[in-house]
Amino acid sequence: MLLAANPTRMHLLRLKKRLKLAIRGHKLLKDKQDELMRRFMDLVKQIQGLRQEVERDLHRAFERFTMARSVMSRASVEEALALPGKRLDVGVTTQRIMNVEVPLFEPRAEGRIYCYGFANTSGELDVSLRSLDAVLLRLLELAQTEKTIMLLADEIDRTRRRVNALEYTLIPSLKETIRFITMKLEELERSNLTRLMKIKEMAEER
Amino acid sequence: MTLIPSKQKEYTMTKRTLFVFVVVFFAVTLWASVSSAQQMTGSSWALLGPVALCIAGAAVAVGLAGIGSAIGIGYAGQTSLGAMSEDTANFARYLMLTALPGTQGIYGFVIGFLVMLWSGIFGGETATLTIQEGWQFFFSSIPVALAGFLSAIHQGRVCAAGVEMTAKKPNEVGKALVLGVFVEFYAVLGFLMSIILLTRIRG
Amino acid sequence: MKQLSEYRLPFTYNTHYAYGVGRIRALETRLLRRHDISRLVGAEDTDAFLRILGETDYGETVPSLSDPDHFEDFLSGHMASTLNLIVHLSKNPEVTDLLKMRSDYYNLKILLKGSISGRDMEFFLSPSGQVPPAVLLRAIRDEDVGHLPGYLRQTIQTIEGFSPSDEIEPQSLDVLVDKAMFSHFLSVVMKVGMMFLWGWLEREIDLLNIKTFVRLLWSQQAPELLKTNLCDGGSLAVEFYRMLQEEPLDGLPQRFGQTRYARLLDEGIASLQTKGSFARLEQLCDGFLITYLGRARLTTFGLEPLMAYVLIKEYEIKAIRTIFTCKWNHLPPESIQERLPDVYL
Repeated sequence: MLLAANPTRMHLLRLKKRLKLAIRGHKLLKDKQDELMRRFMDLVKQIQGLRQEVERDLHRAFERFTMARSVMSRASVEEALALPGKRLDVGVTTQRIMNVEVPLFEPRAEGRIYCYGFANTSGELDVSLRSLDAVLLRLLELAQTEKTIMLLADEIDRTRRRVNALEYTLIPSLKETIRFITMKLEELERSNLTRLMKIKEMAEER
Repeated sequence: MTLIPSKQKEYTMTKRTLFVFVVVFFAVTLWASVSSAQQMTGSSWALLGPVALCIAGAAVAVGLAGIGSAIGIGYAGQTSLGAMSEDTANFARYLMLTALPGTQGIYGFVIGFLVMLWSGIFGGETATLTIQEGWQFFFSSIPVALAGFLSAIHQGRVCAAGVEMTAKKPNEVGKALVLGVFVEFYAVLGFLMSIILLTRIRG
Repeated sequence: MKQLSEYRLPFTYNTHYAYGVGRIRALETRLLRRHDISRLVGAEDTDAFLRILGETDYGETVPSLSDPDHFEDFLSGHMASTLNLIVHLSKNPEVTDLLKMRSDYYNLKILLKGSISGRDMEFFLSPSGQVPPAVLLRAIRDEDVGHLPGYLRQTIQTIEGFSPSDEIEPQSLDVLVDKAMFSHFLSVVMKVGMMFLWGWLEREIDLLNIKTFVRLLWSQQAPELLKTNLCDGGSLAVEFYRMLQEEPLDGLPQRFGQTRYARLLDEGIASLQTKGSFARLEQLCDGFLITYLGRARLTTFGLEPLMAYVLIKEYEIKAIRTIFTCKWNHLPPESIQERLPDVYL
């Protein structure tokens, strides 16, 4: 696509500068995209196992909880869990990966997960709470990593669009415009030359 | 002030109070009658003549055996009613078990009747009755009175347990009855002994 | 080796209970049998389960129940009516009231937890206690225990003495209330001299301590929590458990070899280690207690058969709830059977 441009030498110089810049930018963006992609793939690989594990453990914990629930009356379950013994605070800060801001969770847990007496509760409840407790930190880790992956994916998308824009739109049209201007300028040169030759011829005839 | 009403303690006359009450009553009566008889005749035992002794024997036989039967039937009957308040289907079986402790009362009644008959009180032939014979009639009625009294109570317990068992296994009622009859056996022995003794008194 | 007390038959002999025991014997015939339970376990889905339950003594209203909350209410209604029957038949209110006082202690826990967390827990209060929930609620809210009966007042004072602020751990709170409850029950039963119930409480405390002990060992918090969390009054002294606190799990059955709980621990711990589940241990504990209650069959008169009936009924309702919850969550029959006391299977 031809850019709207005055076919002047001045403009030609400016365009050439832009082209150079675009090519350099393209190369840089391409590198960035590759690096993002690499990190992205790393995270995805890492998270696949984690996600499966967490899902399996959560499922198991809930199954255990159902079991515990089945041998206790509703009232004793309510009573047992009425006052939680463990507090979990999650501090959220951010870190930068390739200039992308990603969240960083810092869970701070205090107290014990077992918050009930033994007389009216089943050992199954211990088991289910212990597995819930164990899965909770990993759940946070999973959330953090998944959010990071989403943000990275966005960034990769944006970078790819830019690379494509540079590669398939800006650079070709710059090149085309430069060629057009060059040709235009050469034509001007030629017509000038012809005119000069003509003038010279007319002057000699006289 | 408390918001929760405390349960009032149920007033029950204990066995001990009842016993003391009866003993005191009889002691006072006996003392009064003996002392009045002494004033009239000079002999302390004149009031308890042969006829009075026969009547006392009949009274003891019927009374004690009857009390025993009543208590025994009371146990078995209460248990039957408890079982029937949930399910009346086994009424006939419970009825047999409940009626079983009742026989002692009948034995006592028969002995009481025989004492009255053979001592001649019914026929008005008490003139020849000696004081020794009066005591003999009195002691002859003791076996059925005591055996009937105690065996009926215990039979009542056995039958109550039998009712409990029948509630669970209605078809096994026969076994419960057999064990109840074991207790009955000793009441029957007392009854027989009373009859044997009675027949020997007046020829 | 059996203990001496197992050879005694310490029943009270109270002919005032002739009617009550007769009635209970008739009712006992309607308890669910193995056959009923295995039909319930084998039911295809909740509908089939409810239909089968409707054919038993639980009545024909059952099949119309659809959601778990209704079913729970239905079961607690059944329990409450059984309790009322026993209290009605009872001539020893000081003993039968203990059954109701369990709910008082439960309500106390709920309200104390509610007042610490600042949440409104009124909804969970049980109405079947000896003290009306409203009275207890007012006492806790106004911090005025003057109107409460002595046992609750003492419990509250114990808790306040243990930790005056609201910083008490929920677990300590529960344990303190449980301990207060058991010592109260033991003192009442001792005063009345009812050996059968004494034996029951002793076994219940023993099994509770054993379960607590195994749970603490399993969750690796034994030494520090063992000091406070065991109840006094069982046949095994609290010191006995403290001696064993360093023992590995699989050494335990041998150390309990001299007690009546040896077999139960043997199987229970083996299953805990292979399957990582307390189900088998708890199943055996329940079975043990139910078997003990069966001894009440040996007496003709007295309060014991009545108490045994209401406690057995409680286990039955627990079993029904277990089966229902498992059916509702589509768990396979095997995992239900793991959780029912052996006497039902």
